[in-house]
Amino acid sequence: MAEGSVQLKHVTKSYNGESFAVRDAEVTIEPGEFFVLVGPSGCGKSTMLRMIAGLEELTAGEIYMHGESANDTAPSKRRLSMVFQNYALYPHLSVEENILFGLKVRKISKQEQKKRCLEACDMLGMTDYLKRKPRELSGGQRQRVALARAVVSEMPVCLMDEPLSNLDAKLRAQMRTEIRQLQQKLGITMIYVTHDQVEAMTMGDRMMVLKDGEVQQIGRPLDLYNQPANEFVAGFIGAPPMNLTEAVIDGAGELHVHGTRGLLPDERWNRPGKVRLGIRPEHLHLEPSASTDWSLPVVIRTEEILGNETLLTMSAGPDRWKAKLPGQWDFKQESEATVYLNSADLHVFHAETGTAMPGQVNVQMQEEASL
Amino acid sequence: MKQAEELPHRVKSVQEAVERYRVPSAKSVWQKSRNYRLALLYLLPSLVLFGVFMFYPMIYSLYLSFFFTDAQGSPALFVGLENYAYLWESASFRRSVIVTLLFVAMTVPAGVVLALFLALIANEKLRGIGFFRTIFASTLGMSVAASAVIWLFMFHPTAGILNAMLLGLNLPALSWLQDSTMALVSIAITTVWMNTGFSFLILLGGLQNIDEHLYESARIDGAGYFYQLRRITVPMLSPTLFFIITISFINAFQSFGQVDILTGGGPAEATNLIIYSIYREAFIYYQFGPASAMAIVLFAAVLVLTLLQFKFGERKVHYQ
Amino acid sequence: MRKTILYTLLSIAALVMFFPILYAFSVSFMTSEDILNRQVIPSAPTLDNYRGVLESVPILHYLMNSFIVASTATLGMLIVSALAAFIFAFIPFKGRQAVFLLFISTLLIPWEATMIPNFLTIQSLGWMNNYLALTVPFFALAFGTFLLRQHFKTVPHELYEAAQVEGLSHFQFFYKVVVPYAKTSFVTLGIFGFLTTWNMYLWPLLVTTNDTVRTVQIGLRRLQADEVATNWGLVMAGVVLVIIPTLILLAAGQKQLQKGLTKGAIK
Repeated sequence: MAEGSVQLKHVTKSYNGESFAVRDAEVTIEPGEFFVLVGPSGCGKSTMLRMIAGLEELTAGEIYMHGESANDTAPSKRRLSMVFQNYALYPHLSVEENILFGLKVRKISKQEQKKRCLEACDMLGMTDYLKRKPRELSGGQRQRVALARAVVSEMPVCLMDEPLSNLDAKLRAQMRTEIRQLQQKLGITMIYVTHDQVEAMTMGDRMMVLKDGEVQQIGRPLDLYNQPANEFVAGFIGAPPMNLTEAVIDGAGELHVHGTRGLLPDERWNRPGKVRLGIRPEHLHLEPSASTDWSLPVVIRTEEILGNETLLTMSAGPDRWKAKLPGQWDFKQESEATVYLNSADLHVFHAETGTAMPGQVNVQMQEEASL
Repeated sequence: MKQAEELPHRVKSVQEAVERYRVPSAKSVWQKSRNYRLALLYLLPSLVLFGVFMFYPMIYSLYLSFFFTDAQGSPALFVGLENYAYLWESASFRRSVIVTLLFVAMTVPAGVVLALFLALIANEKLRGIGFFRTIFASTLGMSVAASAVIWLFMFHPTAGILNAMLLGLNLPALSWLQDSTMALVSIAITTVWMNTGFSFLILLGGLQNIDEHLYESARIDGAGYFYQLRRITVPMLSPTLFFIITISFINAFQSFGQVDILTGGGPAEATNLIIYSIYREAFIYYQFGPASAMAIVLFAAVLVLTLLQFKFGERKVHYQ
Repeated sequence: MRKTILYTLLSIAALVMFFPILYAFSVSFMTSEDILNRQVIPSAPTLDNYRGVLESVPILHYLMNSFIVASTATLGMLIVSALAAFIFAFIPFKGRQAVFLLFISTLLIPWEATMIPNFLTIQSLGWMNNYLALTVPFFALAFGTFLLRQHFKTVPHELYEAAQVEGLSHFQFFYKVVVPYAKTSFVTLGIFGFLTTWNMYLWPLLVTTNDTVRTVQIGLRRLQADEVATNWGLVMAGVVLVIIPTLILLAAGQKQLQKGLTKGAIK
């Protein structure tokens, strides 16, 4: 397979021989792809990245880099660069020396070093502080030095381990775009670890959601958003998270929620028993429309007006739900209201396993894709 | 349920994963042992030196202590525990042990209290405090030979400044080094003075590690200086204090130079500390067997002390 | 009020603690008459004692020997300890804990308990009256290894990993990253090592029998033994020459030493 590809086959890691840090992960990352590993802390995403880098040995399974088995390959021979959470800058070296450190070790010619350094600094807009020491730089500038170090290495694969977590919110948003643009300009494969689902959604071509060492779902960000494979992905991706509640499907193909009932929008769901029902906050409306076919009584608890949209917290039966409404709304707290929704927007999960049942959304997406 | 059933078979346990998917490493034994070779290479100098100058001599000391030796120091006759029995019966050795214990009792508490006092007053944030700290630490830079020579002069019965001061205060002059009781006291004074620099520096470091907020909140509660000292400083400093006490003990056991220069063990063996006793036995009388037995006794004493430090020191640290 | 008390205490304490050193300085500039009269300050300061001490004993030769011994021992100590500390901080291997315990166990052995066999070893190696006897046995130092290891452990693990990705060998990582990063701990251990080896007494007494490599501490003892009855001024001039290097070193490195030693001692 081509230069820049990374393939994981049954990759498994256990530190104690009993519990999994990473369990049987399978994925093929294509050359030039921006691939995000995302999940809550302790989910195994960093372990996975470090196994790809060669910093951690595999308990079982195999990793292919650039089409070749890399299990026994030293990190420096895997032709990759890596950007660390705390940047891993050498405090006693200047910015320029930091950037060129790896090239010197690899005995690249002085001329070439200079050329690459200039290019990288140009690209990242940091030509002015080449002579400074890392401690004299701001967090954002240090971040750029770390990026420049990856850029000058000209390796076909770049690994990043939560590179933005030490920056403030504004800078983070800016760097997201910059890193994405940089990756596209260089055409390299990027494997990017984050716990922040916003980063995953906005930056990745594809993403892998992990929990407790297990791969939950792999796919394009919007696919994961629209068709979460299970309750965990549904809750993890999207802010505020998807509203979830218990529901019952009866023998007549009707769905019972909080004392209301309606027809199942998809006959494939028609298996009597308990299910978990999910609806995204933006799919709840306060007024009926042509597309809504279901209504639920709720009690408004609190509201947060964000200017262009309003977040409502409400009690729906025993559950707390959130609704995201465009525009500015004003509600009395503790007032009763009715929410309207389109049953096509519903997600249905198995009550025990939490896995999603195939639904209408699924069908629509496939139709769109085939167009 | 359908999708759940379609999921590929997932491994149930780590063991299963290893059995099914483990890819044996193609690395050679040479490559796999890389860390070992590296460690061996880097640790070799230390290990060889420790072996030659620490472990081997320790064992050899034990071995020698079971022998009578000839003039070259080679073991000549196996005598079992006779050297130890000889020590046990030797009035000189018993005297040496008693003198050493007395010496410890004189130097350790006094040394620790003095260093703690200096550290406390030098821990205040005052202008010019750096100057005082340097002065207090200065004896760390004083060699035992230089210190002992200076004190030897100060203790001098006629030319010495100490007696001049006593006379100036209308007190009788003392024969510091000639009197068998005073000689040990004099050596103790010299030793405390010499060791203060090190103890002071370590205790000051310990004091500076105590969180300033503790004092601030105590002051808000209206606690006085001595209350703070008793309830905050000493408990928080206890690991450091314990360390210094142990070091002082060991230093006291190992005092040699001051004895050699000030008194030569006299008068009448009144200052014949254990190390001096070993030195004399081995390098003046060439009795390597009994000297080795003494060295083993010294080793045992230091061992017990250090183990106590590890045991209690560790526990104290956990209180923090 | 509080300040006044403190300054008073500090001044008295400083005077008492520093008096012997000041007094030695003072006496070294005195004439023998001043000394006989038990003066504290020289009435007519003179350099005669210094001239005398330089003529009567090879004090400069002793000083030179001490410099050679202390610097070599310090350098050796730094290198040997740093190599071992690097392994304990960065290179995991099975049994490392056991080796570490072995290092700790050397703390339990007082140097004096081993001096007889060590003396015999030096004799059989033919190292009597040789710099090797005064330096090599002190190269390996458990305390130094622990001190450096503590500091090495503060090197962020990410730097180690970055070095692996960039293809540094372990030795390159050691001298290009770890050593510059933990520079200050080397200074601490260096000062400590220099002070202790410069001030060694018992061991040089055993392994030097003539002036070729004899250090200044032993020289001082001889000076005192030879001159004590006649000329105290001369002896004090010798003392001053011996303590000046270490006092300067201490004053310069006191802060550093305090921080570093506290860390090594307590953690």
